[in-house]
Amino acid sequence: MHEFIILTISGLVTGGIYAITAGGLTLTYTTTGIFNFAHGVTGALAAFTYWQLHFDWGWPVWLSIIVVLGILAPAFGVFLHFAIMRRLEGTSETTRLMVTVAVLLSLLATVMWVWDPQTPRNVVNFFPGESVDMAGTRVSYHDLITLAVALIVAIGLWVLLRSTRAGVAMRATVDDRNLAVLNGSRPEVPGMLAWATGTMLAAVAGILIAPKLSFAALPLTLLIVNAYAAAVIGRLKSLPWTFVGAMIIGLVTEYGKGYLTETRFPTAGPYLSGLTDSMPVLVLFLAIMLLPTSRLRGHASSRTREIAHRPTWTGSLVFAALVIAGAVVAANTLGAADLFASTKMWGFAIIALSVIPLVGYAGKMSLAQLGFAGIGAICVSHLGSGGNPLGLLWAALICAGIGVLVALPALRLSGIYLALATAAFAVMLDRWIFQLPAFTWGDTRIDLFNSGTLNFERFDWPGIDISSDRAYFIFGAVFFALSSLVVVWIRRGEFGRRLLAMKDSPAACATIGMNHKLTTLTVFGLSAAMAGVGGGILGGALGTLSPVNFDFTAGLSVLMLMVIAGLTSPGAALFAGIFLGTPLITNLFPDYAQLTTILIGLNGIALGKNPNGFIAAKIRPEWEPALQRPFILAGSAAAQLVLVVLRFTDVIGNWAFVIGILLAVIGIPAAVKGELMLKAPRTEQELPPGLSEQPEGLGLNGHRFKPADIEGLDKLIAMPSLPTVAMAETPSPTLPGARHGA
Amino acid sequence: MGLEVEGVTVRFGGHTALNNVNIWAHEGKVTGLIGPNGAGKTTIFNVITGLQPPSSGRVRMDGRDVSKLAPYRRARLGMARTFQRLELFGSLTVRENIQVAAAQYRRLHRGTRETAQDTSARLLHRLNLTSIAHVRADQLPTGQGRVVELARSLASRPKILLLDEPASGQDDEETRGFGQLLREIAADGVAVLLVEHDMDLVMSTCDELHVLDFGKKIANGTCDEIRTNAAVQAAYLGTADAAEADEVLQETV
Repeated sequence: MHEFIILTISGLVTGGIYAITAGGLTLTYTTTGIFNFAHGVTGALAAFTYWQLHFDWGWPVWLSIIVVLGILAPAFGVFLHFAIMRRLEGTSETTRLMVTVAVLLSLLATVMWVWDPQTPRNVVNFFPGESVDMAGTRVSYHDLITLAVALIVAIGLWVLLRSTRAGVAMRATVDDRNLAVLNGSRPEVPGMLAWATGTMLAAVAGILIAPKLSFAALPLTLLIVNAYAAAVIGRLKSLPWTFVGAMIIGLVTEYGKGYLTETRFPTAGPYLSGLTDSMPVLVLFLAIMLLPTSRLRGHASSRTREIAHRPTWTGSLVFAALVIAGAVVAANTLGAADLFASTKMWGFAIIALSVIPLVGYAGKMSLAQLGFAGIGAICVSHLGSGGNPLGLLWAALICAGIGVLVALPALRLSGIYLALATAAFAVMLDRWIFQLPAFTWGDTRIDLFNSGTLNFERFDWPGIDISSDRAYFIFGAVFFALSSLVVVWIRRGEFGRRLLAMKDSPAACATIGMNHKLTTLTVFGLSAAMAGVGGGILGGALGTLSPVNFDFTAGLSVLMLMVIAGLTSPGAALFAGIFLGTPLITNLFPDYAQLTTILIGLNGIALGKNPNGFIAAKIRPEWEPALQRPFILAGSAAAQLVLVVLRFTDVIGNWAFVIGILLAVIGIPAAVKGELMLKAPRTEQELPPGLSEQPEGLGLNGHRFKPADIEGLDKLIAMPSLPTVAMAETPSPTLPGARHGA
Repeated sequence: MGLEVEGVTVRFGGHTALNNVNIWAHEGKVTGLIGPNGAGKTTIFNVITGLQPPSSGRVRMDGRDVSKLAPYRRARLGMARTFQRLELFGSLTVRENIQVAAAQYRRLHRGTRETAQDTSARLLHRLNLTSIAHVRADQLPTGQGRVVELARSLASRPKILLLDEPASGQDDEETRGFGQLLREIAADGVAVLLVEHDMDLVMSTCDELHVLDFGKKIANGTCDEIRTNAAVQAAYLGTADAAEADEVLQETV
């Protein structure tokens, strides 16, 4: 009984912290429609800032608290609102979610950059050592403070939303933003308030929980999963139910930690240790299964800013051929160390490719693609021993099956829940499944991650030897090129049309008889299978893999790079592969490992401006005209061929080669532009006398409308052939210039 | 036979959007559903197609109770609709919009001779959309978008067709052709239920009318009966003076 009371109290305290952070999350989501994945890392940032002020610089507690919670956190929330979040109107749920993921990645990298994780740090409780006696149990002041703060937050939010003008405005904005604007409320204010309050609550929770976790950025960041599990119980809108959910999760977690121990269950103990960390995830899945079905919705806006380009076969075949040709050249020019370090790029590229049908076409979010790759790697390592390529087939089948199982509970619900469920699943893989020690099931001994390291041999295809790094690199490129053609084939076929239709309007899909659940499951399974195969290819490249390779935040980076480059372009997958799988960036910026992540994040934050990714916005318009100009293409190809020959005959070195190739490639759009300029007729007309601009441009694009222009217009439009004297007598009555006519 | 809606009530919180509404649409006929803005016309469409679960009441198709079926199941039984707020597949072309629906129909009816391409070509031709077949649907003006939605709904060969303000955004010429088209569709044995504000179109096309006001059905009958119905006149014109209202109605019709 005594133990039960202790566990209950610590469960309530943990639940209290979850409630504070989940309350902030729900508040921003309901007010602005943006689900903030960076909520946890914001708390981490606050906790580290607090550590800096109080523990490192020795400021008094009260001052540090006031500065962090009263000034910095709300200011940061307001900054987020104005700099990033309010620019997201008219973008899809995917884009909005990805922007917050981008914030997560860049903040996490920033925190780890500023506060080096190698240096041990400690945050101790408020009033360390002080406690009171309650029901025969000692409860620390810190825990009491936590409970009190949770209570104050609960009541405070209730009062804010129900009884204050600002709160009512916040709720009105949720219901109908446009209506709220028409009724004279300024939607900026509720949004700003929500972000300020939400960020402050994240900060409160971060500081309160810091002494309970090992004080590091990542666990604080992943607190988001525990928080949104509670928010899901509140259906992402009800604050009271969110608080109830938080308490349930806190209690379940603490009871789990207390009762499911190795001493009680000596045989099962090792398997349970990760389970208790995954309790919130299990509660989340249970809650998702019990939630009432969401209504089918139509699209949010009549005109999407996001466009899925329909690739042509010619373009796609050229792309595939270029990938293979480029890989052959690279495999023969890179040094041995760089080549080995780069073989893994094709694994990442295929995993990234798996995002295209699911997220790019069907508009369904999955934050677990790298997790599926991990499962695929396990399959290939165990079931394809000795390099048996059948391992890849197993990986595809098993991942498809697991993918379907993960997607199944969230199917009835709106899109955001699928994203949350997959993220939770990925975190559960991280915390528990990939860490499981060996176990036996019947007579089979199963050791998923070989207690830490998976081993791979390169695939043993009949007739082809791909055991060398060079051969494997080219094999990877061929595999990726073929996979990209499969994706193009999907897009151009009936299935692809169904996927896009489902993204554009689920309601209309239903009214033509389409079962959107089945379609979603199919594409989810397909994409998980593809990611699993990618994991297998990755394993073959590296020879050994550990769970760290499939870490949740690394998975976020894959998705992020895809979104930045363009979710529907195979080229984006290639970009992600190069970025994550080659030493290119680390070679260029060896001392700034975190900087690359920050850069990814910063690019992602800019998504609101350009939701289609840079390939669709920048690269395609520049390069597409070149496809109609075979002479320019042939010229560039010839130049590149000469460079390749020169390099292989060792006439030039790597640097000269790379610069030459780049020039030959960049030269293509430049040549196209040059050709257009030469061919284009001189369109510039002489300005009519007296006008400072062509008549159709007057008053537009920053040209001021000058009185002289009005006179000029009169002359031009009215009757240029008549003598000026006559004009003075019959001023044009419809033009503003009539007043000046005489 | 055709469509029957029995005693449907929909409450949103304290607001009753539909109150015990009974309407029907017979096969081979065009049935009009009219009423002032906010009368509940779109809500009843959502109830019929299953997008909005009613608080109480039943929907029957050819005598079969479909109230418990998911929207896509009702569609598979032969129910199709267009939307007042366009729900086109914006990232697909006009042709692809129709093709998706035609392919879906073929998946469910394996014996169908006509390929999805042929179906879309036929409908593009019939509805004069051939010239814009390659335009992406979200680039269309609203009037054309509505025609594309109609073509898409016809591609699934419905028995019951619900049209939510299909003629808004079209000019007079187009509207007249549209009425003719609706008569032809009904003549093929389809039960057409038409929500429309253009009274010219309604009165010249419909065999029977239902009138909704504030979520209640206030009248039904032939066009002539509705024109002279005092309750309808009061609802539309805010007056109980039948003679005066009749005058106004005659002018608009």
